[in-house]
Amino acid sequence: MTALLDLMFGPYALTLLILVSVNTTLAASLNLITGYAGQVSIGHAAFYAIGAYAAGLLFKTFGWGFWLTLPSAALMSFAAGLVIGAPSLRVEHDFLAIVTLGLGLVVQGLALNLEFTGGPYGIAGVPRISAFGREFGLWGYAATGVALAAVTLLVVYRITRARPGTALMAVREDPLAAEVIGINTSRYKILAFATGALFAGAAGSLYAHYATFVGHDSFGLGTSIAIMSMVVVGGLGRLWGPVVGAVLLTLIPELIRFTAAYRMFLYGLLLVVTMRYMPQGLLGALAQRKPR
Amino acid sequence: MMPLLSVRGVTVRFGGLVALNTVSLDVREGEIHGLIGPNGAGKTTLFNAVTGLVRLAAGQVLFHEHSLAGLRPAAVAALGIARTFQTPRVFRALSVAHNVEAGLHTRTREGMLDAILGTRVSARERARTRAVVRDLLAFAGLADRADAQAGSLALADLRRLEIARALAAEPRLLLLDEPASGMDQADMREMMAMIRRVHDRGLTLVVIEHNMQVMMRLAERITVLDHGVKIAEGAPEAIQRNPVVIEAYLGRAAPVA
Repeated sequence: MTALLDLMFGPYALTLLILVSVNTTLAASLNLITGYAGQVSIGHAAFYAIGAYAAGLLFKTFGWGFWLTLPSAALMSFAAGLVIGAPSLRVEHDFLAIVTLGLGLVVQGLALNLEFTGGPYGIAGVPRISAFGREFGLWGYAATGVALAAVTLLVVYRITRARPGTALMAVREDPLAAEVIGINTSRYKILAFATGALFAGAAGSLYAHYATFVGHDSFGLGTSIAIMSMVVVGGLGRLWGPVVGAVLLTLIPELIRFTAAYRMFLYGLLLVVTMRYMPQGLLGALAQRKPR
Repeated sequence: MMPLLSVRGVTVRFGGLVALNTVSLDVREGEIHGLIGPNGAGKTTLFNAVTGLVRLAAGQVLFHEHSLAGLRPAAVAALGIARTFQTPRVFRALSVAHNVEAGLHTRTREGMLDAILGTRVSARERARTRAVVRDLLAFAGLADRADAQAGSLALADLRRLEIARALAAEPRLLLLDEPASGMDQADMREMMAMIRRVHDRGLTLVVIEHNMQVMMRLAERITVLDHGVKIAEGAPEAIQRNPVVIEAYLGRAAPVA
């Protein structure tokens, strides 16, 4: 029993909860772009990186702590989403996938090669989060992470049950028909892209102040693919899909130890199995079993 | 009186092919205007030219004295022009009611921030949206299918849904692309009745239809296209007797009865 409690609330469990909540935030933000607006992005880690580097650099330059870097990093990521989204979203489908793949590689390459990002050394010494003069422990990080994930899900929920969400889904279902009924498809694609980027940027800031270090190798193609896998496995375009995906894909490699070394292999396998047997993801498959 | 829609010398080219060749056409406010012609005559291309889906190589389109030149389709829609497609284009994974709701886009303002923060704009618009959707579903005879996935509907229901979605935008002009094609007699009669009810709401209609008998009963004036050129325009009876029209149909392709 104590072992169970320890597993449930011990440092290890709290660390896992932090990872799950960061991943949930990333997956839920990508879900807005890919699940609801139908724009495939396999470069989402770029915005995670932009948020993390923004936090690190804002600390290094102005000495800002988490409570200032969080909104700034989110807004900078949003702006980056607008700037990058405008040209990228002119292409569709497989072309967009390739463009976003390139985008992810470019951002990671810049982080590695620019001087002000610390190049291969990254940015070290990012301070831990503190409030009221006290530094956060694992409980504080876990609470912050869960709060960020909850806000992200709430925003996605409120957008998707309102007029802008209907517009996004119309763009996903049939962009030409959406345009003809008066939906400016470019505008909504870019808005979805930038809003998704905003929350990925916020997750980046939390990550920077949690790891206290920002390095280019946290934000590569592997990370983008992991985020996409979570959304796909959980269920594209379903509110709770990213939660289910983030929990499963974060915990399986952690709890079943021998799979950890094969993390990417496992993600790949899950993607193949999902697309073949339940293309609407776990939640989609469950919803279909229920009689209407 | 100024026509509601004025197509003036419009030319559309696809590579070397001239799909529309200096076509001019006036649609009067309140009329049902028929558009006929053999396959490949350019009827759908004319709809695409009006709704901003293809670029004009020459000419211009005026709607209620606004030039539609260079406007993206969404902007044309916002001015009050709606259309349907020969193969219905509904949002298949969304419910029937949700499809109609999407049609309200140009009539509502709620933005991302309104949605996220739950502003008064949201609350006010949502009550109205629900009422409009309910009314339009009843109008289209789809009230009992409101929660069905749009992709699961039969052809006749898809066409009715597309019209209901178009009406949600409160357009002044509705372009219907072969609204009765592929339907059996009963569905076709029902569609004709629906088109008349749409007309009774005060809309101006342009209808593409292959079935000449249907067109003769429906349209007040008819324009005939052939190979991208306007070859005749006038009252249905005159069109039916027009030797140029008869040749265009019988000389190349038999009319679809």
